Amino acid sequence: MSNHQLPEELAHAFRVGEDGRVVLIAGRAPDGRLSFPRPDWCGEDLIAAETVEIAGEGEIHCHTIVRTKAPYGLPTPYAVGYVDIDGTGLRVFGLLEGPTIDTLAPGQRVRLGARPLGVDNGGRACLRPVFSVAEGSRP
Amino acid sequence: MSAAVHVAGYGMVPFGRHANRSVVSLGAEAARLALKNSGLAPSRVSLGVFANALAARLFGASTLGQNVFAALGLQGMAVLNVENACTSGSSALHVAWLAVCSGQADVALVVGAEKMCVPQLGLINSGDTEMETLLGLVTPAGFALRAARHIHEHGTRREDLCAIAVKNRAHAALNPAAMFRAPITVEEVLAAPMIADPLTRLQCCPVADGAAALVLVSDSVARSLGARARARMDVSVLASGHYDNTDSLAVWETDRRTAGLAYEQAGLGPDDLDVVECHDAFTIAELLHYEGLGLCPPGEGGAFVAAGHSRLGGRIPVNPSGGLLSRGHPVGATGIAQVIEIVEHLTDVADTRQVEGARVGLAHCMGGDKGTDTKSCSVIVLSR
Repeated sequence: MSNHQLPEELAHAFRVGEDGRVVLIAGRAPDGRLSFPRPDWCGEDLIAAETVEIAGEGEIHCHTIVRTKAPYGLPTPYAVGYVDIDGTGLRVFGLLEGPTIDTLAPGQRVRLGARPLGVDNGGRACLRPVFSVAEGSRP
Repeated sequence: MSAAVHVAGYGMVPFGRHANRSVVSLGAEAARLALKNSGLAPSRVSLGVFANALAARLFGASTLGQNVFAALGLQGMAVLNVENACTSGSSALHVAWLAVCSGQADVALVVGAEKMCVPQLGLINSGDTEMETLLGLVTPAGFALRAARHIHEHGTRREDLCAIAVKNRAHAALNPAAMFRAPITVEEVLAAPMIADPLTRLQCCPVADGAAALVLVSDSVARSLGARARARMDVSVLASGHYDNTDSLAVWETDRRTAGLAYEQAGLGPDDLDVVECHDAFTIAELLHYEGLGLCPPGEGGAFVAAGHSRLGGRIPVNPSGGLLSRGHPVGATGIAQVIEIVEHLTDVADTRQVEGARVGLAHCMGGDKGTDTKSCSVIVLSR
């Protein structure tokens, strides 16, 4: 793993493990409902939400390929989409990549990792979470 | 419950490129036109509300409303500055409407102005500190994702999306204040450069400079103006989105919820509408708003536009101004310009794009992204 860091705006929502896999930092309300990212306070009593780390694995719900000049030094084109995270009811936005971005499709299995990709708001090279299509996954 | 609110006057600086004009200059011109149109002296204004979304980011400007109103000699009164993304203009109207409803103001001047045709604009997003922005969410992508899902779930055709751009351009051809007026075809829309699949450039609204202003007055002021009280602003509803665990991207729950409240408060339903202006920042947005506003059943927006129901002469004309797609979208001015378009139809002055006999109109706007939803949604109902 490189010395790059997640942008500060993402650090509260993702944790990069030693193995390079990334977990989502979600919150659980007293009624069991999960939210991502974790809200500071929840419920009618405005209590602190319980912190829950969730494996970044799921299925592509939908995706698009952005073909205009990319922001933050991302490649042009690049793919983004929503991923339904296994067993949580959470639908999470993120960068997507597969063997080629033109083969991405709803229903494909993806796993969240992190790699040096683009720059942060200060123009510094940084890590970004990316959902990658699991090997052999078909829609 | 609340007192009636009337539109007494309006003014616009046509949307387009105004290279040598400042935001304040554009706003002040629209405000002057609106006051002249109302027949009210500047000294009658008791509340000024100014809408702008981007001047802080693009020019480092703040509290510009005071500068706009001071340019007209209006000083000492209450002035509010409103930023609420694409609903900045409609949110400013909402605040003014509340003030006149409650009796706190009897003449409110609402101005929206924006200057976007500058090199530093870049791609619009929901703010550089938003998590999704850092993950690559630019505004066209958020709508493209909804389009992809609508196509996947309902079999909506790309040609149906393109038909919205073609329809709104045909409407704009009848609107001298529209930015783009030359006709386009479905084939041209499909062949335009891809921005975010499946949305091509001609399915995305252009950036623009421009300004719009409205004068809202109380019943007593309206009575004193007689025929110059042009239309009633019956209901204004402003709502925000739900940001986690969204169940469907192909059904815009925030649209349905906001419109439902507006219909309930106005005591009418979608079948009672004669004309609609909605936030067609992208073709898929207008299609989803057909469904969210109840103009057609969920999933049937593609068939609705294909049948011609939303064009002038159709069952319920949508965006007769040309919409954001062709009239242009100077963000802070848009929500006010939408209401001006409705007022022109309710007062039979919309010329060749007039919806004959229009008695009730609705203006819908939406702004910003967060999670899987919009940050802001507004619905305003007007009648003659």
